[in-house]
Amino acid sequence: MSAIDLNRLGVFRTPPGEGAATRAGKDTGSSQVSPPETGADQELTSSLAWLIRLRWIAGFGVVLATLVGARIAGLPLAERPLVLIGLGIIAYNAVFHLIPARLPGRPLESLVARQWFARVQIGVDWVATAALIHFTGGIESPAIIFYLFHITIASLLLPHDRGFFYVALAPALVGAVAVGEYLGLLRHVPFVGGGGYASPTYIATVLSFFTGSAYAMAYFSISISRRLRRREREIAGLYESVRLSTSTLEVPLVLARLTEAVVKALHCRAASIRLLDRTGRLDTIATHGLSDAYEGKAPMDLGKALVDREVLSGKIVLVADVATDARVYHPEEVQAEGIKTMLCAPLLGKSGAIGVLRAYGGEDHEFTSDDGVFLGAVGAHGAVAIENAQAYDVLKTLDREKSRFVRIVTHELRSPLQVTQNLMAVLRGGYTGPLNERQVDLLERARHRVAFLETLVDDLLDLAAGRTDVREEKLDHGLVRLADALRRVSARFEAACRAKGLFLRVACPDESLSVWSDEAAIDRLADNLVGNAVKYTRVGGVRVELTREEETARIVVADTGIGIPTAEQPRLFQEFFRARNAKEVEEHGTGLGLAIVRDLVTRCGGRVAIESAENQGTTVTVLLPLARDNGPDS
Amino acid sequence: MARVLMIDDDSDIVQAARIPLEAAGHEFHSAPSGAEGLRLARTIVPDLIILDVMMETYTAGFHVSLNLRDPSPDSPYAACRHTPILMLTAIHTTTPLRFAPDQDYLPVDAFLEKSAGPEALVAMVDELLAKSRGRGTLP
Repeated sequence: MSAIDLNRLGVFRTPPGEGAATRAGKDTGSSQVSPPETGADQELTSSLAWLIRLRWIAGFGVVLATLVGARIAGLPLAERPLVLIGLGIIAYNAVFHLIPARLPGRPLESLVARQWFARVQIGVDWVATAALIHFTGGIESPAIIFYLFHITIASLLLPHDRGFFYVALAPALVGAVAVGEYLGLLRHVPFVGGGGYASPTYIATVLSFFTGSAYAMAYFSISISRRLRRREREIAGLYESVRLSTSTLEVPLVLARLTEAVVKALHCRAASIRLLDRTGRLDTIATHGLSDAYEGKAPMDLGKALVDREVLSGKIVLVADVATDARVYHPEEVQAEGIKTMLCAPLLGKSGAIGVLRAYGGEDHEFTSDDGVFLGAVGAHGAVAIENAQAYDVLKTLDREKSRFVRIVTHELRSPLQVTQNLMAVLRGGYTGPLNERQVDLLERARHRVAFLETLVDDLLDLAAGRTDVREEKLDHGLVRLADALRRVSARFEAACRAKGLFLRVACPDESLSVWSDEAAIDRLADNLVGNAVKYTRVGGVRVELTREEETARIVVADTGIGIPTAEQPRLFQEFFRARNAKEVEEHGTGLGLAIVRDLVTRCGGRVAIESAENQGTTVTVLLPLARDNGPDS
Repeated sequence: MARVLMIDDDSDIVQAARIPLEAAGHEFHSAPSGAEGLRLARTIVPDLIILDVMMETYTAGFHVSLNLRDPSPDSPYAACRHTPILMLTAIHTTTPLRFAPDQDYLPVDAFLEKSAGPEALVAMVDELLAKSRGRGTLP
């Protein structure tokens, strides 16, 4: 018991996500939760096993000590009855040892059943001890002291409120033996005493000393075990609150777990978190063990929340009785929740107090100063967890907003460009009359520039889309066959390659290779890679290859083009970056192509690498994880 | 030669369609909103309707097409029930939604991207008209 076994406490068995189900107490369904499980169940089970182990030692010890005492030391012991008692202990211990495994229907599943099992065992032990005492001299027996062990065990094992009742049984049994022997109802078995069993004064003295010692022993055992249990819970709760501060960035989950950890650790009725909102009011945003109505209360002005105001100044406040404490604003509301006492600690964030962490106790609950220190520590850790989660929320929202904004702006930019392109196409098509050569030249230049702007806008839209909320992006996801995509896209460049006298070889021996993605995204990826290769190659040509490398598809686009100067290669994936020699080939380029490639590849969970030497060519290798159902046989 | 009604709120786009379609010999009418378009469809009874999606509302074009295809016998647009509808749209690139012609969901005959040039527009209009006439001559 002295070692703190954290694993025996229920908090560590909370599976991830369970906290979410009790989201700030809202989803618990009922207005009250059952008393928190502190692992008493597991504790009792392991203590019962421990008791059985001890009893083997006791049984064999009695047999051995009797034999050694009688045969070797020559003590006047009642050898046969004592050995029988020892064997008896061993025998009933064997029964207790086998019962849990053999009984049909697992009757010992419940805590109550196991407590009764413990009581039965302790009762039988006490009777065995009474027999031992009787056969070693009754009231004169040195074995009386063995009862003190039993009392310790009972104090630790049984519910504390019953402990003192059980203690009374020990003097009663010893007294019964003594009185029985005094009255001659039981035959006195002399051992080392001097005939005290026949003296009422001796009996009364021994019994009163024994009773006093028994109660003192029980009191110490119970209070030590209470403190230990409380400490165990607190350490576990503190550990839990620290752990959660790094385990999730979802605000509601952080709040739910914090309140839950407090209730478990302090073994109290309920807990709540009130945070200061922008208007300086306190809003109850999470509860555990309180009614929905209590959690749904409107935010409270700080002027009325006297307790909270005190707490926000950095103090830990104990309200011993909500009914009589003048600082409590609506005592009847609090009492309606079955709350008598509350302990409040500030949630101390990086920039000061951000709210109040409250623990509530029922009618017979008392918070100690240790509890206050504990709650203060949870408040400090919890505030950091809440602040981190809130900061993450803000970032997420900002990112979404930014992406949405870029999409809208991009759309607004694209429409007029399209219309301009259409109007110029009408002009160029001669629908409004024939154009002369210079008009055609000027119009073509204008169309070229507008087309470039369209590409730029498309590229920006692609980048914005890539960085938008993933949920939106998943809409179009499906199995995309890479061989099809590479061939489809390469076909678009066949004419350009013919015009430049370049070869374009596409080799996709494995038709089945597929990735889980968006077809448009894969097309865009291939379009960028093949397009770049064709654009920046003057002699030779472009090779497109698709192969399988374990669970990865390997796409290689290799050209014999101008290459990329070594010094500029590190900046290749930067938005708007264009290599020096690229500008010589093509005056206008967005410099977004490779940034988009990297984005698309990252979204598919893949990698991209570029190898290049100036004037020798460039090889781009893209590795994409294959879709799972795309096995070797498929 | 056919009577074409274009319903689109962008006068530049209307102009970019009007010139090549008129040059191709069609009679061209236009309406700047879905509501105005429906009114005009009843009076002129076009042979083909070119329809934008986003006008006074984001889905005005869809409502126009659903009204025109209303199967009830007392529909005010009964005369246009079989008029081919060409939906002119850039919606593919601005929302993650995807539409395909679907008699139940979106009763239009074809889509054409706004960025398609005048030749593609004229070709698509002629194709739809030819199909519609083919249907009309069937017993």
